[in-house]
Amino acid sequence: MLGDKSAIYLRVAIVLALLQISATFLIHDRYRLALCGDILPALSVIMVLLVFQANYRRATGAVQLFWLLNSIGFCLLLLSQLFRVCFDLVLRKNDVSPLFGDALFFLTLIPVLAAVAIRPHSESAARGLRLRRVDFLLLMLWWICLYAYFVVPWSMVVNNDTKYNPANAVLVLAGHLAVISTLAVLWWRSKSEWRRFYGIFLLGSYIFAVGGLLQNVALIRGFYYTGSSYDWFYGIALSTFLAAGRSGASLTPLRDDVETKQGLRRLWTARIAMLALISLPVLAIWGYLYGQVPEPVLIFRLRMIFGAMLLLGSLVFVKLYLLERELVRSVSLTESSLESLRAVQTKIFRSQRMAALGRLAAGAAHEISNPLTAILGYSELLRDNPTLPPDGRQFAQEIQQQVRRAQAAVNSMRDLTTPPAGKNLQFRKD
Amino acid sequence: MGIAPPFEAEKSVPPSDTPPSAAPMSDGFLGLQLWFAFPLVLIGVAVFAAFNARPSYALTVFGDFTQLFLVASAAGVMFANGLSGRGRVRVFWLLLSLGFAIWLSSLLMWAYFEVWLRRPIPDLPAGDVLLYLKIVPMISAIAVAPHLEDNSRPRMLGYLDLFLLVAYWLYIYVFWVLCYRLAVNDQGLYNFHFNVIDALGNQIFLVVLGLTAVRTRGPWHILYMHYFGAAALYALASVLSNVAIDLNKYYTGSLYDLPLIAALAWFAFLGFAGWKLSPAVPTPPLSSAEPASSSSRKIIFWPARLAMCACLSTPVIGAYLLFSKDNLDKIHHFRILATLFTMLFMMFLLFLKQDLLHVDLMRALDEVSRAYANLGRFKDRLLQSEKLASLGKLVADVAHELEKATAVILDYSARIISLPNADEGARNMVGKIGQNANRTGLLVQKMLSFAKETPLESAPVVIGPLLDSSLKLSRVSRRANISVDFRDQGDSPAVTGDANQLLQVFLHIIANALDAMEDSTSGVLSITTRLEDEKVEIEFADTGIGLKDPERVFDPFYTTKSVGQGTGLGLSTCYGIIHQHGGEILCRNRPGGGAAFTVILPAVDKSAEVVST
Repeated sequence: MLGDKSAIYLRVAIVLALLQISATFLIHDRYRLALCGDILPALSVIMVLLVFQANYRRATGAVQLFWLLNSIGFCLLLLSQLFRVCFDLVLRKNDVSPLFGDALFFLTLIPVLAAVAIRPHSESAARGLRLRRVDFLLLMLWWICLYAYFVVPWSMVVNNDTKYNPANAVLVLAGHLAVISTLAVLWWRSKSEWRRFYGIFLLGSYIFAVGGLLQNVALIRGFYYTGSSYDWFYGIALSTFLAAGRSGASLTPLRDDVETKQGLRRLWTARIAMLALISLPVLAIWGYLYGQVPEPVLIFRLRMIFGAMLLLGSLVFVKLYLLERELVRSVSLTESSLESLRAVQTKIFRSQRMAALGRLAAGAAHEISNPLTAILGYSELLRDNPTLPPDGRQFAQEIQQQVRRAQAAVNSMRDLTTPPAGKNLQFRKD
Repeated sequence: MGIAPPFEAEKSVPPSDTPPSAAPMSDGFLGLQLWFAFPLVLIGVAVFAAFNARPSYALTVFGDFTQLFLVASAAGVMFANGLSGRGRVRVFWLLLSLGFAIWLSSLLMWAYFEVWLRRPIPDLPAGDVLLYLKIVPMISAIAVAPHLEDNSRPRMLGYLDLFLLVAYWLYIYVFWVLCYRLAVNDQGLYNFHFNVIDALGNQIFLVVLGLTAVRTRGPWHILYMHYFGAAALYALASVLSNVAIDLNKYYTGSLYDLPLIAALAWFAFLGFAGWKLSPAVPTPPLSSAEPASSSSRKIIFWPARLAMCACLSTPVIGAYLLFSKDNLDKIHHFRILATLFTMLFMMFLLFLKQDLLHVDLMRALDEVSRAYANLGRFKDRLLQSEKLASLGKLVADVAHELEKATAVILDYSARIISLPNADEGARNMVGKIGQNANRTGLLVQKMLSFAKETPLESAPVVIGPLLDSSLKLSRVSRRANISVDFRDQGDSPAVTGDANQLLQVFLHIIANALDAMEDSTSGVLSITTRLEDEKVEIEFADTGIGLKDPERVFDPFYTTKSVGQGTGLGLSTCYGIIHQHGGEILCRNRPGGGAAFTVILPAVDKSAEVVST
């Protein structure tokens, strides 16, 4: 049923994209065109969100987190779209500061980037996720800091479009490139269904990035208007994302072929997060010494960096604290396991004598059952011997009974020691 | 190690790993007297001069020389202490001597200006920096906590934290004092700020020292108290001389220098007092191990927490600078840059720290998983062992049951034989039944005798002859295709035990080996005895077909032979016998083919035997 629904959504999205393309040719009134150019993509984004939400509800664990982050990303996209609708259509203002909408648009990329960075296709990555959360958070905040450093002051502190637009374009492009390259690596490494899903997602991101770049270039050059042909990519990309959502509807994590060391991956995530953090004072120093910017911008940037360093630095200490706790915990675990090992060894030592006796008895049982079997055979022959008088046969019968009794006693020992087949051997291999 | 301990004769030296040779002792004694006499004379002259002499060039030279000599000797003795110490103690003394070396270089600069260039009170930022920085290695030395016994936790992390704090200390100097030199040149403000921060450093130093001194016991307590006394005197002296400088009454060699000289002499004495302690790593001042470990944890963590506060305070300071004023002057610019660079450096150190923690954690996790795998294996063995033990407890009941059954069978078979019209065939069969019943009875008896813990006949048994006789009994020489290589490497070791039972075990193992080499054309059975760690190890190695399943050989019911071919009670009996002797029996497949059985038995103390005989 859900599959049917998502097929409908996909068709709707494609129709919306086509409508938008045709609107560019058919509608010449700027206001109406802007109406189309703003509302149609917003509808597409809603379609995408619906599919992602359905996936989110169906999935579990890391995959669920993946869809959640993507949903958040597209929610932000929807918000930025609604913001544009508000300004273009309701307030009919063209010269209003675009910062809020642009920032929301940029913020879209960050949850998406985090979503692909958790590598939902891999089971082992999902397992190690808990301890990497702080690192992910650090990296996400770092992207926001970059935006706040390069782009925000040109709109908030001094209003300078010639500086603002290129900075925004470059940073959005960088975000896109980060998403695309991560996705490309995932696409290259994964296989079967996941590969297909990543492929479509990659295609969508690629179209999205190219569209965004063209839009921004046009904006800088001054021939962009809402609903122009630069917006086409937007609709197409959203349709592709919808298709990706459809193909990723029922994916589950796969066991990795090569079990990479869990700790090593964590180490690298942590290193990258730390490098990102180190880059902030470097940026500040560079900007302070060589940046040719007006003083208010400089002060804004420095304040931002100091604030960010306080926040991110505390996060780092939280992380270090968690690491230390983990270390202490694992050391105490080792100690306690050594203690119980000692206890087990003492127990083994104590039961050793009785166990040796048991071994001997078991061996003896094996030996005893041989003569018993022989007696049983002979007594059977005797019982069937026609020359023997009836009471002799009766005695043979009695002997048989006694043998059975003895055998039962021997078997009672045997049942106790016969190890459950297979289990024993498994442990002894190593 | 390389330096001959010169002062050992003076005090009773605790037993150390390197016993001092006799030769340097007398030299050391003489040297020691000189070392003590010289500063006393110097101080005497200094006191005399301070009261009587007018400020002159000669007095300046004398005052500078006295200070130089005392600081140099402190640094030298502490360095020697460091070289002869180990672990934390070594780090402690080396850091201290580094502090005094820094101090010495600052004094050298001072002397160079005063004595060589003949300028009265030189103005030296470089010298000031050194004077200020000397306190850092001194505090670090205490943070190393030499009075604690070495624990296994990697200390690299702790050093990183110390390094962070050192960087922060330097940052404060640059931020608070040096800006008046580099950003704007204001001598008055510079001097004022320097004095404040230097006094502050001294106070912190005193507090740390005092806390440490109070918390330690024994010889280290005395050492710390000396250290505290010297440092307190020094703090007083520096305040005094600063005041004197401000009042323009100070000159080198004046009365105001006397506390300083006394403090320096005390510091130098500290080095001598600490010599005794340098090899005393394994004597922790705290009596029991438990509080030592908990306080060592504290010692490790407080620099970490302090370093955290230091790191987080830098952005706060930076933000305060930016929010407090809208227009930035030169000092602001300088301070902001200093803050930014410090932040960068600290982040770099944090990066290193995180890496080290990660590496540690990875190793620890590896250890945990290995320990748990080990535990799992042993738990499995315990299960096995307990099963067998419960079987052992059953033995008496089963044996009783079997005995009853055998008796009844024998009874009935006797009755059948006594029947008048039984034919020959039937009698024959009954005879066989009787035979088998008797054999069963015998086996049960054997089992019972084991179960009743029949004490082993316990006597010293020499292994070599026993092996010889077992080789003879198994008639190895009759087999043309097999040669025996018997090597008794343990000088005929002996064990305590039952010779008969041990013989049975050896016979069984040899028979097994011979069976395994039945089809080979040139088999070799090599028997080696070894004496290792109070244990006799006897290895039987053959070149046969090897064991199909070496881990299960000693398990009951395990046999590779066809039914009826089994000899004796099997290898599980051998296992039981050897374990009753307090030994162990192991087997494995040799890499070149064939099996090897190893019997390990506790050896008899030969010397005890000699005494008894």
